[in-house]
Amino acid sequence: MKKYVFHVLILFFAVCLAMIPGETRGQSTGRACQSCHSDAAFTGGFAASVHANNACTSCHTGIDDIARHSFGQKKSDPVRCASCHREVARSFRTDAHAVKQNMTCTDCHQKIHTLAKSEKPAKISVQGKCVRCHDPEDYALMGHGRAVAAGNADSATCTDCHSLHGIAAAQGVAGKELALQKEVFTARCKSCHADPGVAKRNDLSTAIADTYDQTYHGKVLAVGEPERVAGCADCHTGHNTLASSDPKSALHPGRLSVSCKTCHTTMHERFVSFEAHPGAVKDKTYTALHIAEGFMILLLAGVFAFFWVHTALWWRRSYLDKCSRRKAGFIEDSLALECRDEKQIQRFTMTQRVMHVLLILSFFTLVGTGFPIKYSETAWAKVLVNIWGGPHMAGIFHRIAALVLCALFLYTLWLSIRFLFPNGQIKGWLGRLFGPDSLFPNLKDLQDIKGMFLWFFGRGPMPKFDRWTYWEKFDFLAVFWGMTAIGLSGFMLWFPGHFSYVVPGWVINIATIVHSEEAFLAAVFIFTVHFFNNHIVPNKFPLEPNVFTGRYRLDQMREERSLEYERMVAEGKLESLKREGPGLGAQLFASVFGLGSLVLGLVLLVLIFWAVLFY
Amino acid sequence: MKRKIVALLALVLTVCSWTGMASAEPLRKIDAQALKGKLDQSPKAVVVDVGGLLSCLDAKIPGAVCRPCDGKDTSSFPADLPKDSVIVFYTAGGAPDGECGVIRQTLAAGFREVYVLEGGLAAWRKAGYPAAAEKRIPRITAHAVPPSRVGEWQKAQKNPLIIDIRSPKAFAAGHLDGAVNYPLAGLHLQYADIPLDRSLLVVDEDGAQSFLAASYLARKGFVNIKRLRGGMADYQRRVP
Repeated sequence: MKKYVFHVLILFFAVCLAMIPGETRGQSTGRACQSCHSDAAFTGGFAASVHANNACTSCHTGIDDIARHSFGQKKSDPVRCASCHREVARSFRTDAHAVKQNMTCTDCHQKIHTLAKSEKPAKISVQGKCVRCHDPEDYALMGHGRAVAAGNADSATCTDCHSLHGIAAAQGVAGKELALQKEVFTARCKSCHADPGVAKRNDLSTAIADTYDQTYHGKVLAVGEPERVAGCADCHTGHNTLASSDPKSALHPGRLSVSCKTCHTTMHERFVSFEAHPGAVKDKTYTALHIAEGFMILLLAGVFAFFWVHTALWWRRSYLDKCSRRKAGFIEDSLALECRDEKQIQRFTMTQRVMHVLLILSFFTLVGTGFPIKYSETAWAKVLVNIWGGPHMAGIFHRIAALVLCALFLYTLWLSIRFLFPNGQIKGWLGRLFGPDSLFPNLKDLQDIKGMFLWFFGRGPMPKFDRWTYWEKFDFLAVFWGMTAIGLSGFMLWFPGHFSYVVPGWVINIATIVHSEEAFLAAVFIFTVHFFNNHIVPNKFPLEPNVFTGRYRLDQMREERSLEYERMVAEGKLESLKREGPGLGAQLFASVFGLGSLVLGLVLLVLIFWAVLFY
Repeated sequence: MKRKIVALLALVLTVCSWTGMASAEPLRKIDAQALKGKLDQSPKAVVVDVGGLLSCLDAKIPGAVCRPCDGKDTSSFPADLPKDSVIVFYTAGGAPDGECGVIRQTLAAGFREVYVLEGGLAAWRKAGYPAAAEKRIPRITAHAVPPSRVGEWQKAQKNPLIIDIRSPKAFAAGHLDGAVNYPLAGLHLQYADIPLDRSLLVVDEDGAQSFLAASYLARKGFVNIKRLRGGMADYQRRVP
């Protein structure tokens, strides 16, 4: 009998449910449901929950026959939180918890029927939920977590770094997943640590973020190869980031070498004096870095001040001369091809020409692969790097080109020694060193500099030159200085761990500055001064091909190197220097390769100035 | 006589090495997008979850059949399928290897269009495709013990027991001291052997399966359960 009464009652509620207006339907349905589902969670608790305005059937859909439902013959459809929380559900679909652990809403939002808004601040509340599974000792008791618990609204809670319902399912230890993690997390660290407001309120410095961007780690990350360098979390650890004074910090002096060794496995203990945020803190390294930077700036300023003025004045003078000659009726045919049957003078041997071509190829490779790292923040950096096949391939090309350049340097050194001591003959080396065939500067060069400046201003004739001019000697010796500085610093950056057995870590910071600034000096000098002196100067424009063809006209020799001409005539050697004019193939190569290099250099120059001026 | 024995041995060795090479032939891989394409286009495409019943019932690719690798299944699979069927095998965490019994059985039965899903169910879900749950196990709140603190955990427990849910092969290759092997694929059959009064630390390959196992064990009455964070892979990386 009792059973029948119960069923009649259920039927009665069902009829009532059908008759009541929609607005109050939820509450009434709730009451109907609660007649069977009478636990506290479904009665009092639900009314106070965040879902209280919903009816039971808002979530538990598909109960179209309450009688069958009450007999257990018809269950409700599975609850779909996504029917209301669409955006969250869409985001959660690829969340790490869903993808890797098959978790659903109620695994975190347990006791869903009594779910109420937390009275605690959201950051603390979120942290409380996460540490139910993720060990609090790891995630919440130190560093950011402790600050959150202490009420610091700026400090990062779990979701500030990991996001709330869209945690990337990337837990890779290599490849694209690792890259994504490093990129995302480093960007999230910077989003707070580069914020002046956050920094001011928490007595921090935004220099921490800025200086990271200026390191090799930061630059390589920016051009798109984060998996190969340290992101913030690699040194500071992902959680429990602590001040370096805290013995538990990965950056505490007692633990620093262990942290660095995670990546730099070959390093010596003294490597730890490397400053990962150079210039952020005013310590000893800071002073050393500033001295190094100051020296490099002075060097750059000095070289460019002299040679740009020299170039500008030379161009003006040549332009005026050329105009006068045109007005006087002389027609210049610098673009005309050389005739093979016209005898020319050999200036460069085949070996020297091949060396120059290799030098050009390796130099452009070094600039094309290195400058995207130097100016990693520019719009063109990634484009240029991708032309090489990505940062990793660009790095390989950079190192190969560096080795080619080193080989050229060593070979040139060997040739220089042979020049000074032919067949082991020591006697007379000083005369050869300062002689007319030497690339070493002498007193005549100083007189020539003075003479050129007088000529620039129309106060004297253009000086007479021998085999090498003073600007050619500078080009040659600059390579010696440049290769020592840029090569040595480059090897330090290539093998920082090994070099830490020889020098302390902070020297690698210095090497970074030297390598970068010296590269700038070399590239900009070549693309402006060297290009002008040899090709863009009005009487040679657009190209002086003799470094590719190896020979030039006799009248050119008489005009440009009159002292050498006179010397050759006096010594009776001129005839031995005469050769056939360059063949069509050599001239074609000179034009295409030479002009191509010139154009490429000028394009790179524009990119460099773009970076300097606008970034 | 000696010569004959030597010749026979050589023949046996050749056959063995040939068979070994044949079985070592890598399985063809398919990614989630390509699998979706095949499922949309071909009615003969069959997806098979070989990760074990618990894992398969908890979440699977919609329409997938559950056939554990150990081959103890008594159904007629794959004999009842047309020979030109496209069959794709997967587990929750990745692509199964060629030693999986069901896959070998399928290849031996002459099926040619046999693939393994790269990245398994995780890759499928990561690509944004839905999963179906026949009998999902609600997750418990089970703390993860970091690899560096396993010893600490053991000391702190009155009666600790490490449950390694990886395959017997992976377990044999290396495991934590004192761990016992209860592969996830057969956990629903063997869990009753685990004493209820022990504190459990569930260890898996990479941290992706221990949560499911811990939650299952919790439903079976175990109360003090923790997981090894990042599984054995993380442990081996971090603990020298």
